[in-house]
Amino acid sequence: MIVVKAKPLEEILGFLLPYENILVVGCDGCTQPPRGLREATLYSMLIEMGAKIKGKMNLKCKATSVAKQCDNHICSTTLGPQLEGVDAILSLACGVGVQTLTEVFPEIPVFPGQNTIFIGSQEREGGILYEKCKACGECLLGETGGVCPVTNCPKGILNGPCGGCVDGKCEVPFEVRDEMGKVVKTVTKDCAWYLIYQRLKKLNRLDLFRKYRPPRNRAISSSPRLSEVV
Amino acid sequence: MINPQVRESLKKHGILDDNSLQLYVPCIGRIPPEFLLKALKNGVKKIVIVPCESDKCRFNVGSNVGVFRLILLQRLLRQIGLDSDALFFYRYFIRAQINRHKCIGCGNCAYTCPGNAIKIVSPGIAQIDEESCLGCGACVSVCPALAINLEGFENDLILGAISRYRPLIEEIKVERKKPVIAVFYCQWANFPAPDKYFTYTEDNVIFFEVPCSSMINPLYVLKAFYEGFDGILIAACKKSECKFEKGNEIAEKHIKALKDILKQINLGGKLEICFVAPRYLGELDNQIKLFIEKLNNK
Repeated sequence: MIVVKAKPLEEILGFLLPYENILVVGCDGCTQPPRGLREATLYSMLIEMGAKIKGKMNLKCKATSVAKQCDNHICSTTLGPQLEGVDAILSLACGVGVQTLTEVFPEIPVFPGQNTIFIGSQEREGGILYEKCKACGECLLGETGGVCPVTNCPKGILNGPCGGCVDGKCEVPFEVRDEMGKVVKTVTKDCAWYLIYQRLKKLNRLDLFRKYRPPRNRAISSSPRLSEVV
Repeated sequence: MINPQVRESLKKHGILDDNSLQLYVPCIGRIPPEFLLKALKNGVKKIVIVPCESDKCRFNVGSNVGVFRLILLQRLLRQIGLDSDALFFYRYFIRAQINRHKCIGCGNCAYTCPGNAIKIVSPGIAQIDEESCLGCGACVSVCPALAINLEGFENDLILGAISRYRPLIEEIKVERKKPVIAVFYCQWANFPAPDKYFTYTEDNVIFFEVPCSSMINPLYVLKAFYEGFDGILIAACKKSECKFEKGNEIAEKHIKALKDILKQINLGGKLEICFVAPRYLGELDNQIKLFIEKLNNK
């Protein structure tokens, strides 16, 4: 699913203070953490309270949620009837949702409440989200035993570990950042190719490990991109 | 005060009416038979005991031991000619319920449930196994779609109750010039004496009871601030004393995340969580006093 991180309230209030009737729209789709009706209601109260503190007393905020903000038909049919009198929308969806709402309702400014950061999954126990897929367009998970070297190797190499793999660990420190982008700590992670080797050995498919892979065709993963529906 | 759902159910069955006195104990095992005999001697006509289901007793054997003792009392009463209606039992246990039309299949509830009672089934809806549900409400607080409710403690009920305090809050602030505090307490963390509803008697503190601190939805906290409360204190059970294993840890996580967000509109210091136990008399009262002092010093 698409991993998002909440934008600071200061930034969101900056977007919304020029307006008076705001609709916060959540998404029941795939954002991680989920940003459904509850988050939308939470934000609507936070924004009204935050606006009052800044002296804007007549700002009113309502909350709703859409099944999938990336679907323009769902947005126009279910959200359209709720936009009476609304002069700005705060979307809690990923970047796709914000853009879809803009396309479907071009007269109303739509602001993002989240920063979309990567495609990833949740490691439930510790509550940490990891990037798992870079949407590179040339999936080689079938040759690497299900471990992705494109997202897990900081150098993105394709033919086995580099010399910096020591005791199965990667020499490049993994930087963990806060929502302002500042590095808060670095951790040591496993070498992706070390994991791939172990996995393929377990599956008895070291022939796949030994296969030669030429450099990726970056044109496939460069933006802008589109895909014909198949 | 009895759980409104239980009260409705008892009323429907003609067991309870508006003349009924409601008493509240942490466990049926606590009721000495002498207490009930005294009540009957002093003119009480009918006593209803509402114990937990035997396999759901939070104190393991309290429910069974208590019921067993009281059944013996029941038999004795019959031998002296008292109606069998004079003392009887009505087992009840609150459960969580999922509104399948609202569920978005995110899986938070299934992961959080301490009883492993929830499964996410294709095509993406959560399902509760009623037999395993412990009635703690942790699932309620992690649901992003507000699709789960705990019987008797529905989201709308609690949010409605909070918003009804708005005129009283304004009166206290304007006329009595005191800060108004909301205390959301876990029913196991704070237990007043059976004849007193609350231990704290100041008029600017308003109490909301929940079956477990894990049920406290960030939405309730926000709603309370929105309606004008100056400070919110959560009272959860002490570490490793949660009757549902990790309810207090879940509550702590929620409160921590909420404080980070609230800090951004200067409300971070107005929300606190404390860990108390009823066996330390007056502990919650002290925490409330400290909290109010801290608020006044800001």
